Amino acid sequence: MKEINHLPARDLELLSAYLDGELSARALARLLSRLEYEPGLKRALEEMKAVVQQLGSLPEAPLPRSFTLTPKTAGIRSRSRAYPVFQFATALAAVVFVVLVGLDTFTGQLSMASRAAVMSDAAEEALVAAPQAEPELGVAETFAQTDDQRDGADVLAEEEISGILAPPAIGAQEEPEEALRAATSPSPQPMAEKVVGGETVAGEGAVEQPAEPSTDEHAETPPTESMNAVAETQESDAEPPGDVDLAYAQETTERWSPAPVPILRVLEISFGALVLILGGLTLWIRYKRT
Amino acid sequence: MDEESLIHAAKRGDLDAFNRLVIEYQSRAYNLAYRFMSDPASAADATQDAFISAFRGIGKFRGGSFRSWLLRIVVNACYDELRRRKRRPASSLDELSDDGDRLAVEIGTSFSHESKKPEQEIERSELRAAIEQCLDELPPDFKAVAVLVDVQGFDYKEAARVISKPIGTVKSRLARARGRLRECLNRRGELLPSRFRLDDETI
Repeated sequence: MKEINHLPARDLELLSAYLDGELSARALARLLSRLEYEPGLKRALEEMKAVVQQLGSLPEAPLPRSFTLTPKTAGIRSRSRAYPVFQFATALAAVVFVVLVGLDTFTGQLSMASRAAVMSDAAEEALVAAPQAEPELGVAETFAQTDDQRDGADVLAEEEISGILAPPAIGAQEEPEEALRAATSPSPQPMAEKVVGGETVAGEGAVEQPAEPSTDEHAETPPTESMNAVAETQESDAEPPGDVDLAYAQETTERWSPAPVPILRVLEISFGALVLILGGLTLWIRYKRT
Repeated sequence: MDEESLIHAAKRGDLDAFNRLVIEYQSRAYNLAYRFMSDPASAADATQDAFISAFRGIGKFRGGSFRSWLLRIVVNACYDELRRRKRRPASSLDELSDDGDRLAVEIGTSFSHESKKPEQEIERSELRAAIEQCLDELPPDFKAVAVLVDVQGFDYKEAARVISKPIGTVKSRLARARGRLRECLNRRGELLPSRFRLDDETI
């Protein structure tokens, strides 16, 4: 029994090939002659033949179900035409947004640098001009000293504002203070409104009116004090306390006047919002189609 | 629509065309998997996975025998399923119940043939169960070749294409598979019908 079960591998292959008709004529003749005088080999052949027959007679297993694929099992997603459009639009808006942010940052840095340069130049000019106008230019002196001590454009700006807002401490500085206030106001309104004889008169016209002949009662008989006040105002307008100081003050005022909202910033905000909206819609479409 | 046209359509993503190929080959694919896995549920899973893989990879099919190409995917899916089962070796009560039910159904089916005697049918059913058990004990490489050639009726050449091995390997594995099956059945000699039992006097 053991000898039969443990046939050499070569004999197994011979018997197997014989059953399948795969032996060459020479090999077949040799095997047939062996089978005549080797009963164990013959018995093994019969058993192997029975095994092959049994394997071939195994019944076909019935299908438990159909294996046809559905789009879901096949991994096919329903294609929404809107998805690629929204995807592209989101990407495009994002690119424009990034470009705008970059541009804004770049231009912002440029303007900051130029402003700082201008401020430092102005500070130096003020410092140089300060000793020349020392007796009269109290404010300029203050600016120059402040610049010298702190050495910063922003600090200077703060100082300017505080200088403008601060009440005059010394009587000698009244005239420059007035001139500065007139120069730093964004509109000529405060300067234009003058109190003449207890009444408020329209600014420049009121200043010019006394020079022209008029039939107005106030013009005919102006009080001496009022006339003097107008004359003083004219003098103070015509002769500023110092050219350098006034120019500096005007320049500073222009620089620190409230700038309108730049269009670049508006575009930036708009495209940022657009990216958020489009991105949300794209994700929603993607979620819906899966 | 012939098979080649269906394959071309499936390559373009036509799922309906591919499903017609599935209908054509699903029985053969499932039976191969079933004999390979010896478990209906695992065989169904492997077959389904194979068809999904086939649909996704049909673009790589470069012509030749579509059946061989498809059954190669089935065999690979069976190997994958076997590996998964090795990682989770515990067999459920459902599987045991399935085996019992299968044997009962086979016996019941056999009894329904009026021409055969009940004793003979029981003997045949027991023999079939023994063969299936012996087949299940074979190493996967031997089992694949035995199922392809002896159960499915493939020739050596096509079996070699399916398992992606040379014909010499197929011959060798088949002979060894048959030898092992013979040994296994001899160990269960009492289960063999009298005409298959060893009888020293006759030799």
